[in-house]
Amino acid sequence: MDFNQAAQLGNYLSKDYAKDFFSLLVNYKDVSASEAASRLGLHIRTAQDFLEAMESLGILAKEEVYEKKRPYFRYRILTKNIRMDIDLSEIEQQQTPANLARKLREKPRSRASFSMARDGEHISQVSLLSGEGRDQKARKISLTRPQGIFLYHLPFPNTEPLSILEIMRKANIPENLAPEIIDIVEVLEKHDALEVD
Amino acid sequence: MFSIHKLRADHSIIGLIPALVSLFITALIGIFFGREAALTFLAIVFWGFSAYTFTGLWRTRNPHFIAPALYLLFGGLMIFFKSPASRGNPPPLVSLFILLTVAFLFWTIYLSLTKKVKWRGREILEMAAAPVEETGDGFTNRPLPGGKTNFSKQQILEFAEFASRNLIAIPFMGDNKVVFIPVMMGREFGYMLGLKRDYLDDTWVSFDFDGNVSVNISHSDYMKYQEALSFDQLCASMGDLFIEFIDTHQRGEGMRIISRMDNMRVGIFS
Repeated sequence: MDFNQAAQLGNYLSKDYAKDFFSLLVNYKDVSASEAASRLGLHIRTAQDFLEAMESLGILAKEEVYEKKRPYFRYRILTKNIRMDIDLSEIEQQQTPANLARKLREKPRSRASFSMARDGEHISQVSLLSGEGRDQKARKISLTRPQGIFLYHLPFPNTEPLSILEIMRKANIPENLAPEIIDIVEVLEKHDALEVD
Repeated sequence: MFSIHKLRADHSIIGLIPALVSLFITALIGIFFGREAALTFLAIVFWGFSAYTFTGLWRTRNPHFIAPALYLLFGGLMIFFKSPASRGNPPPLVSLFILLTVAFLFWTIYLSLTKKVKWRGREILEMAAAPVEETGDGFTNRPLPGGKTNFSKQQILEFAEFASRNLIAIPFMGDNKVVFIPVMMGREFGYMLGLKRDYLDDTWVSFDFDGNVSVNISHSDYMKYQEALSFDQLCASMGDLFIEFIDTHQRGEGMRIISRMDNMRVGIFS
């Protein structure tokens, strides 16, 4: 199960009617959306969305049947054991040599503002501004200490850019922390605060 | 020595604001409550400034602050006792107050002209900019890691005392470092009164006891330069300047630093 499927399943499992719905599904041979809705006191659309989502996750099977000439779906449960197994390595930042070799520096007149930590030895927070005038918004990101030390050593605007790996070495950041460094680099790049080769 | 100034001319009157405001209020009190009340208020203002100057003496250990502090103290006493007839006959000490006020006033003027009571922030900014020829902006509000030095904790602390006494910079003592904040004339109030404890948005140079140097130049100070000097080089130059200062000081040639600053030909009020 990938992360998005797990999120979808989690979303439906958190509904207050989810337990009753599954109770219906395990105790009935099969059920239609209108039958489930009337039994559980739900709007038919809500029941239909729930059943469709479970079907797309492979928990239910649906079969098209006809009442007179009107077609509709009946749903039956395929398993009584739902497993949520998420492989988080799929969303881990890739610490590839190419990624670490990307050269970067702060962008001149960027709309990122850096706040120093009290000890003055690393950056504790970065504020990313967006919008203009009254619509201006600041998104504040609190940094981990390695991220703060990395940004502290980030080359100034208009100076020679350095690779992520070079900056990490200059800042004495262990290479196994590269994923969190790459993450903040991507955030700053997305907000146009960095110049990346 | 001739030096080309890279900072814009200083037309700021921030340093004069407390005096101007005091005079304005004195005038208003004089109009609404009479001469006696106005002079009493003016005497209190003098004592207030005297207390402030004594605070400067206590915080910086600059012995030259004693002259303006005593001038203001005796000036206040002179104003309070001399003027209104309603206070009765002036005490015999008034003549002494007048004499002391005039004496300390002239001493204060001498100290001002010789820059003994001048904050040297502007000189620092000029000296840091002197070797920087390249322009290109590049401002960032991040500090520059300025490399490593071999200075001992003792050497850094000794220079901190020297810098404070000679108004080169206000030193902030941390657990494992000293941060030097060059302050311009008229900008020292917050630090002297203990109202400003956070230096992070100001211009500063930090030396930790492991030898690491960091430099930060504030946006407002950077905007004081006539040209958009290369920010990277400017910060590096500021760090080098303080490293050179500590080096010069530990060789026992601290007065050479003062002499170099005097040679920058910066006005006594800027």
